[in-house]
Amino acid sequence: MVKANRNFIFAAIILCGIVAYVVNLIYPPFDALFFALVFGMVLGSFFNEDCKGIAEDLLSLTLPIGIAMYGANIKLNAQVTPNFAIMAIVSALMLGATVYFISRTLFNLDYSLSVLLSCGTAICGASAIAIVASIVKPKKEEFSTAVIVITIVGLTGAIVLPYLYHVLAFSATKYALLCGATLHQTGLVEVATRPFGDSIVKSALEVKGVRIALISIVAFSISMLHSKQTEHKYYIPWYVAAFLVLSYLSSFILTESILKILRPISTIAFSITLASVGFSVNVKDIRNMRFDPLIAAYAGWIGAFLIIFAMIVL
Amino acid sequence: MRSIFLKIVISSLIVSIISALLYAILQFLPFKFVVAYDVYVFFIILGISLFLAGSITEPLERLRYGFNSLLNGEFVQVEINTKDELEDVGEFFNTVARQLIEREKILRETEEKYRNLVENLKDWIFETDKELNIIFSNMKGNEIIDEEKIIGKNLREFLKDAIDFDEEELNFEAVLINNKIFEFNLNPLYKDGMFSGYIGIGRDITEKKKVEDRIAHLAAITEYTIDAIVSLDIDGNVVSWNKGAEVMFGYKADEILGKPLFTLVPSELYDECNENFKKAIVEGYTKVETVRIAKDGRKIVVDQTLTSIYNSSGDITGFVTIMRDITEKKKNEIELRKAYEELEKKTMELRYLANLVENSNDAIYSIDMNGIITSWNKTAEKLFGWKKHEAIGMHVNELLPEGFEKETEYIIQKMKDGAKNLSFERKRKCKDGRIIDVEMTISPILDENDNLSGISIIARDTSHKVKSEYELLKRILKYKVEIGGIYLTNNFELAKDVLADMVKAGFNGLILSRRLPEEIDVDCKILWFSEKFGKNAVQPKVKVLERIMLYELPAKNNVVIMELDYLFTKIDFESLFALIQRIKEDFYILRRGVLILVINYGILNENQLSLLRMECKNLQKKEIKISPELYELLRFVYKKNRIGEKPSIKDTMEELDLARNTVKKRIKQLKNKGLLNVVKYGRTKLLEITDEGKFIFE
Repeated sequence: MVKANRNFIFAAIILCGIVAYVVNLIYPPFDALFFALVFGMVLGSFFNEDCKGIAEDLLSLTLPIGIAMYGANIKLNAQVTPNFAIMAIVSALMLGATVYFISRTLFNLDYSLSVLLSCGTAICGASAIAIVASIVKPKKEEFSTAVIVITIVGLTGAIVLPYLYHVLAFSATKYALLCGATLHQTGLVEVATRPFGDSIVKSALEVKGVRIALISIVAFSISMLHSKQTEHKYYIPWYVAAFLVLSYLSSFILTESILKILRPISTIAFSITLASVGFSVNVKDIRNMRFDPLIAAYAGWIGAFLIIFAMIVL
Repeated sequence: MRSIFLKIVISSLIVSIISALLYAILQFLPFKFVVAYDVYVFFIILGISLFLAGSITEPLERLRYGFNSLLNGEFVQVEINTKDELEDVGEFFNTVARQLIEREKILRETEEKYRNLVENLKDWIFETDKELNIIFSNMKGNEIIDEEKIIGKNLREFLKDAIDFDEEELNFEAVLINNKIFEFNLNPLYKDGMFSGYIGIGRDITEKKKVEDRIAHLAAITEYTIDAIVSLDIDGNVVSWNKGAEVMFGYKADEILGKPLFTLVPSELYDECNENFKKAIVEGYTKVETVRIAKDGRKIVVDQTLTSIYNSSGDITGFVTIMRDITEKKKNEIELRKAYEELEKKTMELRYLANLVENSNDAIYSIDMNGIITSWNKTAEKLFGWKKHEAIGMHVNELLPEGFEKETEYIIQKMKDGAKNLSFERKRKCKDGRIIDVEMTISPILDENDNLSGISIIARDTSHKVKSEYELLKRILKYKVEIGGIYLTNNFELAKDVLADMVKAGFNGLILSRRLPEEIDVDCKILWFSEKFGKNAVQPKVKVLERIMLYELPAKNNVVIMELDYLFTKIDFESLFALIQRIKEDFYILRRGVLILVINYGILNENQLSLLRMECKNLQKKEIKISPELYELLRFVYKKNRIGEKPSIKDTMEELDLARNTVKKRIKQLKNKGLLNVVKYGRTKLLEITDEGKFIFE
């Protein structure tokens, strides 16, 4: 195990985030956030527990900034068709409910992990997990497990959906709606749709934007539910509010020229955040979580996907 | 699935199938993003593999946690529901762990029990290394040794005396540095066959030693005490017999042991002895004064205590009797009682005497050798006026008239010189200043060693007696003189006649004159004025005259003639006149007698003569109807009759130095005048004055 000082670790994590962003710039199908998480985990596996503690300290700084800045990457479209919007909302509700139900009842997972898996599946993957985690305060291994599980399931979706589109040959609009309504992360939506043209990407991102917009409602709802369940004070972190404000600004107020500057910064900031998360993750802890969270996430996502697929395609 | 092997196979199969499916899918995806999809598939398979492997190995982690907890002494129930061999291992672990924990608990309880046992032992239990350094000690060690930390210290540090050890078992007694006495038992310990130290037990035997010493001390006391201490069995036979008993009764221990106590009891006291045993059984003990018989038949009075001895069950197992020889004490008590009775008697006598003294008609008082009054009876209070509390502590010189202060010193010196009794008449001063005549008897007071410790004085008031004597003298003298008076005359023959008359009446006569003794022809002491020293010579000086007249004359009954003619030629008038005034005061106050000054008036001027006449009286002769010779005889008979005596003719002849016929002739003349009677007492004729005769002296 490598021992290093605080500044070195900070620099290494920041570098992971930047490298992930650069990889994305060079080869856009490689999602910056996914690779930041992977780089962070690979790097963190070379350091001992003390160093992981230093990464957690950095996370307490990068997480609020990353979440708040990630708002600049959100593009809500007011002109999205109502059918798409309704489908997106219904899909999100179904995905979240199915995963939460299966996690809690069939696999008897903890409340926090179930909520994280549910929100990550329903809204926007790792970024939603990061936002909700700041409210429900899960254990470290629960947070790490949720991020990895949602990423794996999301990647699976990002590979399976193009195959289905190719095999079943349904309409591009339905494919865009299916991708926007069921895939976890915005980057994976792009990965799944980009090979089939920008119009599909755009449509899918509009649907995904509706799901992302639900983060505000979900954040308030979970905060209220969590305060009742745990008897904690009703609380929404400032960076969640900042994320929502910046999402609104980037969608409707800020000009494209400003957003061109803000979005890379936003992506780098959130990449650094996920690199910090990956660095602090202990693979051994994830191993101890067993196979249940992955099966629950897969089962919930597949179950909801089949229904949504039936609703959209059939 | 009951086999972990099967699980691994299936997991591998699942991963393989998923991998195959995903890579099959990739064949249908756009070639443009094939690299990205390949990478993502890799990560998907990696992730799934990670979770699958974790799922299989997670129970092992639980087991590891369980073992770690077990190693730390905690019992954690490992819950594995994998339905495979790991679940069996988990159950086995739980069973083993439970048993281990139970055994550990039993071990811990046993250890605790033995620890408590060791810690609560009153003995010091310790372990040492081979150098005798203490490596374990129970808590008692700290209490006993008074050292807070004894671990690591050498056992020898706590012992006053050095000890030697040779890897063998040691048993010894030692005095610790805090003066406690310990009995040590050290057993050697061996490790791998090599001597590694000792396990030791130290027992505090300080109190035991003290008790042993005390018992030995008591045994010695019992053995060598002068009292006879004899223990008896329940039948009254002697079981033990100490030295005191040997000395007291003469029996050696081997002579008396096993014999009954009645060996020592006179036959007439058998019943009493039996009663004593009964009383001791009932009441626990009995105490009597009785008589015992020694080996030589001698009877001994003893103070005997007979006490029952009980065993732990409260049953009488015998008796112990302590006998003290009080034969001598009894004798002493009788003697003491006699002495006490004697003392009582003497005390009564002393009290009687003290009462006599206190209520005597004579004033009785005592002084110490410094002249301080130490006792003072009631009559002394009445006579002198000082109350007892005032007189005691007062100097006796307070009782002396002025000029007599040296008398006390003189008396004390006389007593110191060995005088046993002194009796004389003196003048004493009362509290109110009165001068009284007293007749004094002075005796020494001796302490128990016959040393002079004080002086007792008995004083009797003789003022009335003296006064009556003076009255008598006044009546029977031929001249009208007052005792204490000073008379002036220029007729030396007259003065000499007065002196001769008074000397016959019993006065001490003294003549101070320039005339030679041969010229004076009077039967009295004569001092001759002369400036030269010599026998009966007196220097014509005021101090010398003052000493003679004031200090050397007897206290009373003096008649002195002092012829002044010569003195006025040697001493100025004022000095001599002042001396005459002092002598007059002394004579008058102390009634010392009569002073007759004789001077030729021609050598004085008128003033001087008138001054002298103011101080002195004139001598006057009484008018007596009978001749001087008859008066002299009648006066002798009168004096005798006053004291109850009737003089015979022979007495009268001897007194007046006259012949029988002359006396008879004068008696006949007095008888004829009716002044004297002659009475017969057998063949003796006694003289008795008649009332008419007495009238001459009234």
